[in-house]
Amino acid sequence: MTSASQLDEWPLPAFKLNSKLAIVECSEKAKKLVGDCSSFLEILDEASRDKASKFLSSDQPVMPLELNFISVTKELFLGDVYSKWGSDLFLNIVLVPKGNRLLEITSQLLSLRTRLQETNYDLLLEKERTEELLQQVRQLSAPCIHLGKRHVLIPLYGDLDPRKIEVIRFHILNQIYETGAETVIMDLTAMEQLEQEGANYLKSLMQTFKVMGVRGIVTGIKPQHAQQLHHLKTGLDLHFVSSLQTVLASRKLLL
Amino acid sequence: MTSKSQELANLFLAGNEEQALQLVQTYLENHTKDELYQLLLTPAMYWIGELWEKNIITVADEHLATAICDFVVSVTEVRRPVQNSLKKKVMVLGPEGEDHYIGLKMVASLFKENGWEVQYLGPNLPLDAAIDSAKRWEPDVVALSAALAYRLPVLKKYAEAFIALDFKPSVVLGGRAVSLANWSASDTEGIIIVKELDQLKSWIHTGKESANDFSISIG
Repeated sequence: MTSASQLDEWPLPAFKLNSKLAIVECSEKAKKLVGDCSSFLEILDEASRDKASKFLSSDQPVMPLELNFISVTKELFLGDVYSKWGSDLFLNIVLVPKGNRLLEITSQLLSLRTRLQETNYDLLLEKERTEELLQQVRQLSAPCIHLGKRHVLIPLYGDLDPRKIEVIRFHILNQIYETGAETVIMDLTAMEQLEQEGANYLKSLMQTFKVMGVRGIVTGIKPQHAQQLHHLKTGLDLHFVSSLQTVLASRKLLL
Repeated sequence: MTSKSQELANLFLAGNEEQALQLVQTYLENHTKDELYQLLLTPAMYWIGELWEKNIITVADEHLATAICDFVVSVTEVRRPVQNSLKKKVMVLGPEGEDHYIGLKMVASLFKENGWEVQYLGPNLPLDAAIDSAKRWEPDVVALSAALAYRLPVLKKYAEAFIALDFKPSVVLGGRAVSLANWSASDTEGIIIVKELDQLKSWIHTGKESANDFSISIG
């Protein structure tokens, strides 16, 4: 390596290799980057060696050739290699180290996406849990209380929507059947929103009572519900009473 | 390499996650998850590795393809824990220096689907940290994978360190490097070699290593 000075003037790490890819000459910059080695393959990561020998040995090297290098500090770095066979039958090589910025950004994006995915999954779990709780609330919002003398009291809590009736219907009908109740008192004192569709469902529930030979009494209707429930009475043998207490007293269900 | 794998590889390289996912979901309509991993994703990713060796794509392309593949694997993964009274535990990781992790994810997913409790520690994990986690969690199995052949000695070192632990976990070795390696008979107890996911699956189901002409030479 006598006239290394010529390569030293190059702005990038440069090498001169013989046909066996041994380093005949290299620039100061190259030495600083990869150390003083005798074979070009030695400064490459093992997974890059086959690739390098295959492409560099060919007559018409492709450009640029991407290879993984091992630095003086034993760290891997990616670089593009530009090569050209000289008239002296040596292979001239210029190495352009690639910054790791792109790869860093890729991995940052990836970790961001992973986080989004995890959040997405957590949200999904939460949604399922909420759904479960809501179902529980629905089931609990229509308890059947046996008052004796074949009377059952069902206070309805919260909003009355079709889904709630769907959930409680089976439970209510079962209870009525099992206890052999003859009168069901639906108390709406604790009911909040009443959707029109909910009112329709309520009507169909009442109709089912009738089919089962059970008399329905509705108590505790608030003014805002009255309008919507108005049509409930048509065609149904329903009894509306303003307060629960009146019903209980009239039927001697109060102690 | 089927044309479908190739199509998928191209979608990965193009960064087209939407179409890649669509292709995979259509495939899953009449194939199992194992088939997806083994017959579609693995060949696609191996092909992408070969494209780099042929200097057709760059490492940046590979990273993009990996990210898309990762996305697809994650989306198709089972979320719900499978009910299983056995509750065996497996720790999945790649040794230090090994950055290839798609295989690890597929292995983790396969275990999960079979009702195992999985701790996915990811790739490039230093041995000390891996041993520490294993001591704390005491998994029944440690699954290791390497993609590049020259990582095999490191893989062996890790395997030996794990089977030496008091609670004696089994060690499963896999990955492209293992499937290419010519590890011949001379079995070490507690070490299982899987050359492909099919073999892992049959090991999970039967607890027996597939009948291979190779077994294991370690040390």
